[in-house]
Amino acid sequence: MPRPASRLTLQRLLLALACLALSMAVFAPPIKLDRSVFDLLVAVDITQSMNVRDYRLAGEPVTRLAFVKHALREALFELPCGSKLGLAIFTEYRTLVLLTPVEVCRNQAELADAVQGLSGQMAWAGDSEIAKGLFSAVQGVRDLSDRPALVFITDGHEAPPVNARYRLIFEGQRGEVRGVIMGTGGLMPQPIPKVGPDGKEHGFWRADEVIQTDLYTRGRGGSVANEQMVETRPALPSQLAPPTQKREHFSALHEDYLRQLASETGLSYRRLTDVASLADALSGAPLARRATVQTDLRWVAGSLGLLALVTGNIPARQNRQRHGNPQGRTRMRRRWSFASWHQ
Amino acid sequence: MFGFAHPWVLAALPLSLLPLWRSAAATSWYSWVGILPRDSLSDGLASILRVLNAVAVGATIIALAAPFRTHAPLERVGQGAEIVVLLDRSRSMDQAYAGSPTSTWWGPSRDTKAKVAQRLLAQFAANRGHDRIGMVLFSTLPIRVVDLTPRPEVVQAAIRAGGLGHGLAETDAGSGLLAALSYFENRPYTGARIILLVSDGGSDIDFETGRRVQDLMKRERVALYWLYLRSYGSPGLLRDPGIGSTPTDSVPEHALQRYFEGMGTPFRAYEAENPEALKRAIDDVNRLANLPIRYIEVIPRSDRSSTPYVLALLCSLALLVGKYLESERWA
Repeated sequence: MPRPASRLTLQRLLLALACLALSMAVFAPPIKLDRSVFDLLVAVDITQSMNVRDYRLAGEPVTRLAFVKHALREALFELPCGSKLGLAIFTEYRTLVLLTPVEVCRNQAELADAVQGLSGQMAWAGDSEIAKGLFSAVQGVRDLSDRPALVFITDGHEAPPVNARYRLIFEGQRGEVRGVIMGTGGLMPQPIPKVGPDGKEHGFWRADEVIQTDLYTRGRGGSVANEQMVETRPALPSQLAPPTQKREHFSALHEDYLRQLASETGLSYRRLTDVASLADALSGAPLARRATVQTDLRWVAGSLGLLALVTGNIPARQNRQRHGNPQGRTRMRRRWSFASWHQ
Repeated sequence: MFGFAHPWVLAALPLSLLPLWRSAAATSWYSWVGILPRDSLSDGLASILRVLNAVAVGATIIALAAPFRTHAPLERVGQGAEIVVLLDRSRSMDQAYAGSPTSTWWGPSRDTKAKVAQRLLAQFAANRGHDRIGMVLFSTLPIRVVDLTPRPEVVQAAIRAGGLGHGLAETDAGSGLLAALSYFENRPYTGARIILLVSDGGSDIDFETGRRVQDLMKRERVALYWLYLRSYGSPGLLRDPGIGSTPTDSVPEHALQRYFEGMGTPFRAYEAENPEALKRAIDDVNRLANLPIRYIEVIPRSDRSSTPYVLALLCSLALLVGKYLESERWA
């Protein structure tokens, strides 16, 4: 004997469940949950080498800086509410904080605006001493009271070139500041556009317009070729190419150098390959911090309610064959109990 | 304007047709349907419940797609001013401030001018609730930090950042002023406009830049307030720039002050020696800000998913009642 009554009971149960779930969605207060949020200070290299067009956006070649700005604005949307983001620029030999970290959802428009405003015309000097800039960014993060994670976006192009032997050593405590160095730019050396203070391009930097050799080598040449000076400091391990190839007016991503700087300062290294890779790096687990954030969980109750409602509506497959002659008994649909009261 | 935070959820909307397409009500078995009279009340009730069921499913799906309402930016009239803070970040700001020293347990200590400026600005912005404030740093070149914004959180973040680290390079107040003025260009005039220059002076403005600044100040109707931070050993600003000085005066502050006085636009200088001066500056801004300002208020989008949730709940409750009225069998 089929038991239609059990199906009715099931439907009543499902409906009751739907009512319960939906009333939870309607009446339950917002819940505070422990979630991953991010406290970040993003420092962007705005030096001349960032004007090289070796990225593409929508098929058009764009500068490294334009691509970074685009990716950064996209990443703003990816960060969960309650996260904070600050902005800094790097040029000359130091990092200048423009905005200390502010909450990303409430201040999204202002942050997007500030990112859009980043430009090479902010540069108060033309040098690009990456290592010093990075170390000053690390110092800057240490000076901030809530000590955000550092995201340092650069192509690693040192100008003037650095002597591998006499490069600056990081003297802070390794790993004290968490963060990531994002390498930008292509691996193929490209000519660097010469951008004036007015923001317009005036051709490319020529070989005789940039400093091709580092200051140490320049001042320490012997009178005879290959003559060695007596060195006062033991050589440091370095991934820097010897800066004597007269190729300093070309720029490519110095990935090995950035990796080395990252490992010396205790940061990690990632490469900015596409727009999503920045959002990935920013919202990656290593930079996360746990915080209690008000969370809208109505979707959980709502989905449960929907599931109950839809399940109750899946048409019953009445297995007529199993019960012999279906014509013998006529299926009767929907009779409400009060219907019989009329009779 | 309405929108959905998760529009892809709406792809599930055809599910709401399920109750209409075929009834899933439990069936009762009866020997012969012909014995039972037609019951139009039951039939009517059945169709109503079907529709309610469809509405419940549809409303839940719509609620899950998280509808929100975006409001057209509202134009309001209030009290406030548009203020661009033009903060000096030149190296000279790292030198000691000549005002009253802060006393500590080991004796008086002198703050740098940059630190004092940051403190004063933070106080100033905290006292100005309804203004729109923008910020420009200047040294050799101006650096635009934030555009005019009504959000105090962002303004305070910019001010806090303005006191971090050392000064940058030279001072060029002229290009800084031009950058600050550019915030007002191509913007409808909606209320009092102020440039709040926070600097120790020490900058000359060349003739050409001076003319452009003067023209723009007039055209954009901008008042200039100078919060002056006296350097250690500097004579300070002139009480009356008209007398007591000669054109060959070698104090750069005086040259700048005379230039500002001669611009023909509202100008006031405040020596930030004591808290009084800052209070006077705030009072002056208050007076200007009492002029009505028209501003656009952007209302954040509001979540509207509770309405469909309530609708779905009501429908489900009605369905539940209907289900309990449905008879299981006829005796």
